[in-house]
Amino acid sequence: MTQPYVESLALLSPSDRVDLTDYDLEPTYTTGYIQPHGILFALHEPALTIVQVSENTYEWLGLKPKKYLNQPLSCLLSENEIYTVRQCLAGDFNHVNPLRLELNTPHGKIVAYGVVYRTGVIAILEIEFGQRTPAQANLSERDDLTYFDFHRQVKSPIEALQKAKNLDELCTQLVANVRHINGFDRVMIYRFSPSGDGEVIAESVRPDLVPYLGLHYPASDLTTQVRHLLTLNHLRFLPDIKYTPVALVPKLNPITQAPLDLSWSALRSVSPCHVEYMQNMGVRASMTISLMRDQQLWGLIACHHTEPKLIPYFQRTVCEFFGQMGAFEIKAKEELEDRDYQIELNTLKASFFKSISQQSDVLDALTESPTNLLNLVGATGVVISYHEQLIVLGKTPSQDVLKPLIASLISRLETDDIVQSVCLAKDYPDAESYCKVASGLLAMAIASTENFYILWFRPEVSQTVTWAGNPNKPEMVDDRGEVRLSPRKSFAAWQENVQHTALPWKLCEYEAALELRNAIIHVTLRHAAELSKLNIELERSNIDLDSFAYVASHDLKEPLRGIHNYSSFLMEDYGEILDAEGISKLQTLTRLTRRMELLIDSLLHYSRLGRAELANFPINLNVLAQEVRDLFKITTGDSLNIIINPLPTIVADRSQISELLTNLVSNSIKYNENPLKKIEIGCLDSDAAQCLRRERPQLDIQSGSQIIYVRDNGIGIDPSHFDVVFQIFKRLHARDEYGGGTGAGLMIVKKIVDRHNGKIWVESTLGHGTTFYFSIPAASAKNLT
Amino acid sequence: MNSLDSYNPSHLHPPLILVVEDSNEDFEALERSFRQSPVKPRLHRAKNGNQALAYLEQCLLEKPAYPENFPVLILLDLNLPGIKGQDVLKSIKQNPLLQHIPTVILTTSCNLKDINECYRLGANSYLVKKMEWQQFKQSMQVLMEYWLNTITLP
Repeated sequence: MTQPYVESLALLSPSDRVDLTDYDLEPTYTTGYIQPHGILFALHEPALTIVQVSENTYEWLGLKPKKYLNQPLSCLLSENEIYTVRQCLAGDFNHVNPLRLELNTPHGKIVAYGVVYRTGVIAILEIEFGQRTPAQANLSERDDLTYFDFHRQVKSPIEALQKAKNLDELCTQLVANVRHINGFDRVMIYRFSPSGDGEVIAESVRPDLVPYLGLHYPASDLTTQVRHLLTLNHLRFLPDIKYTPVALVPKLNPITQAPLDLSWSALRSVSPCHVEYMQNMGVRASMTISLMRDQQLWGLIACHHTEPKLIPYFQRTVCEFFGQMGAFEIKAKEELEDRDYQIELNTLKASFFKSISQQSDVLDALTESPTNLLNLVGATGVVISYHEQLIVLGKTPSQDVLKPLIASLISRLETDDIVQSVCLAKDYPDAESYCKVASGLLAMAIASTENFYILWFRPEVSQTVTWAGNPNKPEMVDDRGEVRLSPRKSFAAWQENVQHTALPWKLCEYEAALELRNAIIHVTLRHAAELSKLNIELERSNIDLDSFAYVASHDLKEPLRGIHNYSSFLMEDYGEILDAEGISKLQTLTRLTRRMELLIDSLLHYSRLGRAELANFPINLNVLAQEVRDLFKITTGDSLNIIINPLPTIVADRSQISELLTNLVSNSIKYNENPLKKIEIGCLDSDAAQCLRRERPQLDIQSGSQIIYVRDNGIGIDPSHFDVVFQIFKRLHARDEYGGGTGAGLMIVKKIVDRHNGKIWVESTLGHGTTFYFSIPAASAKNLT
Repeated sequence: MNSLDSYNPSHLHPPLILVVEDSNEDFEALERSFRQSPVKPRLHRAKNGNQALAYLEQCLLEKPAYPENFPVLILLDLNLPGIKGQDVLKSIKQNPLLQHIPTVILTTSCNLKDINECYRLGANSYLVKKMEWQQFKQSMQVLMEYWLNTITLP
């Protein structure tokens, strides 16, 4: 009989891309074949009519399959036994199976045991004889066990399992116990990693065989198909790998018109791939017991034997029981091990989150103790991105590669709570160059609008893993020219360096990261509330300032005007009586009142400049500078030469920028003793601006700013005065020198530049002239009103 | 004085200006500037908004009998004790019997908000008081020359 080829594989053409999911498609549970060491009857209720039967009835019972088809079950079993079968179907079959049956055959009764269960609308009766071949088809005494035998077999091993100190010890106990029961050459515990790879973590093996302990198996060795079956049916058993599959007749179930679902079948035939795999390992008999944790396949107890070996149903049940108990204990041990780490993590979280909530600045709080931020998720490096800023702690990739990495993550960070990787180079090929420090990544967005992200890194674990085969399963073309997947031909273990891979992130670490985000958001919200309170206070003080400005303009000026007027009246009315000295004193008095008025006006203007809403529009500075030049030309005439170099268009408040230029030019004219006053207005080109930003970072000029200068050949400013020239009412010269003035001009200039988020600074050589520079940030949608 | 004939049917009385001004010094400066002015109006001073409105109320009652007491022009300060100048302006300009009287704001405030508000309320001119006496005097004389000698009043 030919191997049953799987349809989905036969359909593949050589050009089809073959990946592991194709192998996964293999529908092993509907192939319609069973193993030959038992027979299967599909029954239709309520009469329990036999509608399908395995082809091997003659070998075991002496009657051809067609003799059974459409017959009632009474052709095989007694009324009593049929009653038991019905009971079994009515209740939970796990508790009643197996049934001890005496089968009617042409040669008399044969003792066997049966397992009854339902799949869909079909009832199934599987019969095993405790033998691999029909030669001596009768149950031996040894197979006919009772509850007391069961209790005797499991009691002390279970107690030993419960006493195991840790996971290692537990698993070692478990394999020893299972091997003791089933007598296989090799019993292993095989644990799955989250990525699906398996590792042999415990083994009991015949001393002369090569141990497999520590070997890793690629995820592709167990297809999702097989995994699914292992979660349904916790024990799989192959007494002889070199069996000839037995077909069911008819092929389709007459009731469902579909192949019979054999997911629950103990006799189910296995995929040819699996058989080939086992043969390559030199295995003849195998038994697999699922280790379930929280409904997930945690691992397997895999049993191999070099010779064919039949384990009766009862012993299999004991092994399955060990699997269940073992899984239960595994869960307890793992939780215990996790708990210690979690307690440590909880202590860290408590103190860390408290310190975050007490700090006024979140970034300071996060970076205050780098170890807290790293240990929170067990990372070795962390990067905090905040606006344009990157704060780097621990071992991380260099800043220039971090920016593109973050940029590539942004869209996922916006949708996913957390983006994680244990093999960053695979997810993001550029990361290969820095995989040594960053193979593991855990990243989350705190506030995308603020460009606020946290990225943790773990280094590459240059762990040498013993793979039990090449994880990259090769594809093969069979003799029919069809692509066929073949498991490896050789089982010699070879080592594969797991490159670019970091230790996996634990669930509790993942949760700690999310909790950190909540803590930050909580603090940020509180800060926002405080800020809005401050804003209200600020607004109130602005209103106060406004009313002060009003008082200054009105109430202060009124008496001042009175003083001025009365001195004038005195001079008008008594000028003839007063001597020259009296007149001079009155004149000084009026001059002082004038000066005071100027000061009040400047103060008022200054305070308004700070509060007035900016009307930001694009302004052509060339035009504006020409207007300023024309203005001064009228008043100053030929002694003035204003050169205007090409100027850019900026986005700003026109009236304020006009005042700014007027004040600077006026300053340049005022503090200038040359017969020809030369003033140059210009703009630094982008190279010069960039160079300046690099050389004088303390100026903190925004990138893309336009830098305008006003240069004169005036008296210059002593460098020690560079900073004070912009101070309120600061004068460098006596009041009556250089045309007087209130000293408010440059202070107003600075205020205007500040209002436009620019910077102003001065360069000067005493006696040779002064250059005022100011920067205006590039237009953005934000500052265009 | 012929030019004044057109404003006042009574040839005996120069035109009357209602001055709403709380500051004695400012009022004295105002009086002084008018004394030195070629156009010499009569002044009636109200020290606050209430007095001003009360005076106007009384004028309305007695107008047929004493038309010469009815102001041809109002000079109104903004910063007044009690009712604000803006509110006085509003009352005048909302009263159908008073709203025709030209009302000139005379104040220290050069706040754009005040200026705009007053014109919106119907002020006929807005004059910022000059600090410099000579300038102040000159602006007052220009004001008189314009309102009493150049244009035609209602």
